[in-house]
Formats: sequence, structure tokens, C-alpha cells
Amino acid sequence: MQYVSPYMVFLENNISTDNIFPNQHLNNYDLLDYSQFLFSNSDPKTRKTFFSAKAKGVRILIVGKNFGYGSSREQAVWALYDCGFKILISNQFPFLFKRNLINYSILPIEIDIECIKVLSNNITLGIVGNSLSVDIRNGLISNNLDIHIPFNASQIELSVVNSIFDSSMYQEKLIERINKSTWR
Amino acid sequence: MDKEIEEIWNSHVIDQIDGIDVLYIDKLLLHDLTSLRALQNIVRQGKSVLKPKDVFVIPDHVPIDAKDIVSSSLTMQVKQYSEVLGLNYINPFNPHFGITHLIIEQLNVATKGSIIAGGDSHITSAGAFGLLSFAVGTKDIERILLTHCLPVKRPDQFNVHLSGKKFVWTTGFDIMLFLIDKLSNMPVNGHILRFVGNYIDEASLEEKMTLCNFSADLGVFSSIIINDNHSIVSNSESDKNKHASDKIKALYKFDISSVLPRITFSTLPNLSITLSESIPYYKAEHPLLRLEYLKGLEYMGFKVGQKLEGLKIGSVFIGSCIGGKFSDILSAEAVIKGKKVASHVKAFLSVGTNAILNKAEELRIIDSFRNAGFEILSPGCSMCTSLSEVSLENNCYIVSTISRNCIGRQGQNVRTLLASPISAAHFAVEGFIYKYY
Repeated sequence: MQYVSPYMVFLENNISTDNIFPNQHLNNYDLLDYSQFLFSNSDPKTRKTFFSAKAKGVRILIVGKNFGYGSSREQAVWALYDCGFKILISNQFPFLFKRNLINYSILPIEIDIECIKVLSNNITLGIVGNSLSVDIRNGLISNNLDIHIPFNASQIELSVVNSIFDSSMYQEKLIERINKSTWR
Repeated sequence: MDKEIEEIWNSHVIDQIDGIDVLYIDKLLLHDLTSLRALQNIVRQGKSVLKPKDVFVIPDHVPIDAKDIVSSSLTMQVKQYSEVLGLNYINPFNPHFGITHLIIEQLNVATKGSIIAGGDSHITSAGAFGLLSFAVGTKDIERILLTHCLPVKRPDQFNVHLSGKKFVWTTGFDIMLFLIDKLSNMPVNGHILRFVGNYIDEASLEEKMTLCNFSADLGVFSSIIINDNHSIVSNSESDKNKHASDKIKALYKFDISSVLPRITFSTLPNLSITLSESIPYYKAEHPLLRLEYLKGLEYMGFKVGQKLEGLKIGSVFIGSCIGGKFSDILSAEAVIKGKKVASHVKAFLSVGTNAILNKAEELRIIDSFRNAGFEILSPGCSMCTSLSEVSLENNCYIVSTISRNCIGRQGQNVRTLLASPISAAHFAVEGFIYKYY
């Protein structure tokens, strides 16, 4: 499986889920498009870049360290998904946000900070028009300058495990086991 | 993992998929803002909850007096779906109602050695009871509702050893601001944190809850305090042998006797100083870049080298899952009793639970706050969610006993300074930040 898309860079570190999807909109439970509140408390430049990424069909987002820390709200992930992102690349994701991304079919990829610097093209916020190609099966990110960055495919591990866990056959077996045994 | 934690973990592993443990979850605690979609999905698919009596739904985030139609419609739906699925719905008028993490004892879910999952990241508070508790998003909530299980990769463990006797005005809140500052660059993301040391042995239950609560903001998977901690870090030879099989990634030791009351100066809990220090120049060890450091200060309206001492504040909020426990309210009351809140300060109190409110009313503690000029808000997450009816002026400085201060947390352009309930009470009375000790 391969994604080829222009990409957005947003390298600020320690962006919390509060920033991504602010508190005061969490009561909106049934939105058709959660991206309307994406970064709604942040500076206009950040917001504008995200909307422009959405309009241009950008699928890949490169973010700073610890992007998505804090509150467990999955709305932050829904908003990024509704903005069109399929792949997020960082040098470190908080464990809970990483789980939430995987659960909502966005692939989090962790690579070395030096590789982030190479890919980000010296910009900290903006859209890079040249496409990035992400080969999920072989764990390889490539750009048009012939730079190839391998990533650990184990990040896909949990999504595979999840799909087994979510199958009704597995869950029936599991429930039978819980009901039969002395499990609590 | 050390022996005790491994025992808890292993006793909950019901299966493995591709080497990842499938954990049995004893109890699931949900709130109003992150659970509705999971509940809806189950009903729409015609499925049922495996153990509805082990699931608790506590609508603590939307204030009980919320007047907007979206919020009330959300709460109403959460209630209806919970009832249809047979879950324990704790309505705001129930005497046990309160912020999820503060009522686990009343709900009888604080069983030592158990595993709890929660829809709120501060569920780590429950670790004070010697159990493992971790936060999950909406999709994982749905999985647990259906099967009471979740595939989770076995986390690593690190220990924090706290020794010494704390300074009289210092609280667990200040110790955590200190620890988050010290540990923010350490590789603790997704780990289990175990607190040990003589300070922990002597700490009260509520103080332990404060430590475990705030550790969520270190990015840990779970944090835990198990009694009989001292043997783990003893240096004697026999103990070393006894724990030879322990697999702990790291041990961080701190003497807390020199920790003084602290306050944050930017938009991350990691950045705090004591009340007499000036805002430091950017250092490479700060967990962010120089420009980001300056951006945080710009939002707050501060400059490097500036002291917070003397800063005029517009508001004070005492409450939330970290600052709304009985001992927090009591410690703040000792400061404000018989005094008045400064005339330019809007002060708010929201105790964590109905039970605490009733007790504090009975003991006339709430009267002390009322007489001092505090507005009393209903129990719950209150002003920590910015869904509350209270709105503050642009650029207002608010000293809050909560654990998050990111941009817009308490309303657009509101500038939040995190401090302990004792500090917040002092500043409410004087109207500015000062070194009160």
C-alpha cells in the first residue's frame, strides 16, 4: 500500500489535543465535519494552513515532538481525519494519541528528528507542493529528491492486532471464555 | 515491570494476539464528552454491553446548569443511551456524583490490584489505590463495552523515589509541578510510573491522588502507589537479590525537602518557577524550541527575566479533579477564613463531588468561601473545561488549581497560571501574586 501526496509541515512541539480540538466545542457530538473546529483557538496562520491543506487534498502531515499530548479526546483525531490526513509523521507521539490515530485509520509514523528536519524542507509551517511517497508495506518514505527514509513497520502492528480483535469471530470466542471461566 | 506490577498485569492477561496482551478490564469509567459515539454505535449495531454493571457513566464535564441546547442535548443522550444499555448512570443529583476520579471509592471500584480504564486522561488518579488505571479514546471504549477486554502492548516501568519532609506550605501539587519540570525530557511516554520513597509512605490518600492525577501530564500510561514501597528501593544486599528479576527502565530520585510552592509562567505545565524566581532565559533542556518558548511567554504577556511577584490577577478558580478534593478545600479555607477576596478579583470555588460539598456545607467551610466573596459553582469539572457558563475577560490572568494551561484552556485569550489551592487562596485575597511564606 502506497500513499503519494503533497504534505503539510507543522513542526511546533508539544501541541496538545486541547489545541487541536478546543474544549469549548467538545459538546458538539454529531458534527458532519469535525475539522471546522481544528485549531480554532490557535493563530490564524496555523488555521489557514490547515484549511488550505484540506482544500488541496493533502494527505500527509509532519508534526513536532509530542504532538497530541494531554486529553484523551478522540475528537482531535476526528478533526484531523475530516481535514483529510491519512498519515502523521513525528519523532515522537504520546502513547494515547497514537492509539487513537490507529483506531481511526490514520497511520502514525515515528522517525528520527534528523529525518524530520530533512523532510520538512526548512519550513516549520506550510504546505510542500512536491509529493511525498509513503510505502506502508515496506516501511519507506521517499521524496522527489531521491531521499529514502525507512520506518519501523511495527507501528502497523497494533492496527493488525485491532482488526483481529474487532472480528466478531474473535470476540465471540473471547466472550465465551469470559463467561465460562472464573474471569472476575 | 517489577514483581508487584507484573502480578497485576499478568493476572489480567486473558489472551495474546501476535505477542500483544489482551487485557481484561475490571471496570470502565466514562464521562459525557468522549463516550456518546461508542454508546450509539453499540445500540445502532444491535449489540449489547458484556458487563453493564461494571461500567459507570458520570456526566461530570458538562456543568449541571449548562443552558445551551447542544450541551443539554448531549447530556440527555448520554443518559438515555446509558439507561438503554443498562449501565450505571450517576446523575448529578446522586449523592455519590462528582468528578469521576474523585468518586471511585464511593462507587466501590477502587479495588487494589485491579485494572480500570477511563474515558478521561486523569483517570491515572486511581493509581493511589494500588491499581492500574489508564485512559482510552472513544473507539477503545467501544471495544471494552463489547468485550470488557482490550489489546494493549505491555508497557515499561520507571520509578520515582521521593524522600525528605516537605516544607509547610508545599503541597503535592507543587511537588508535581517540580517533577514535571524535571522529567519532561526523560523517555517516560507510555510507561507505568510507580511512586516510592518515604515521602510517599507518609503521604495521605488525597495527596497520593494528586501525584497520580498530575502524572497524566507526564504522558505516562498509568501511575501507581503500592503500600510497602520502602523495600523496593532499599540498598541492602538481600533486597537487591530479592528484586534481581525486576525490570525497571529507570529510577529517578528526588529530595523534596527543598521544593517550594510553584507557579507556571507559560502554556505548558512543564514550565514553572517558585514564587520569588524570575522567568528564566530559554535553556536547551526545555522541552521545546526557543521560538516556541517565546511564543508561550507572548501569549501570557510575560518577558524573560520578569518576576511574577506583584502580578495583578483578574480571577481565581479553586476546584477540578486535582484541586477540588476535601483536603484542598480545607487548606484553602484556612487561608481565606475571615478575609475578603480582593475587590478586582472574581473568585470561584467548585468542589469535586456532591459528598465533599455536603460535608463542607455542614462544617460551614463553604460559608467561609461565600463570606470571603467566592462564587460557588456546582461540583464537576467546572471551569477546567471552559464549557462552564463563566466567561472571563480577554487577556485575564486566572490562577487555577487545575493541571492544564494550554492556550484557550479556560476560554479564548484567557491566561491560566497553575498553582496549588493554598497559593490560589492567598492570591485571591491579596489580588496579586506574591511570596506568602
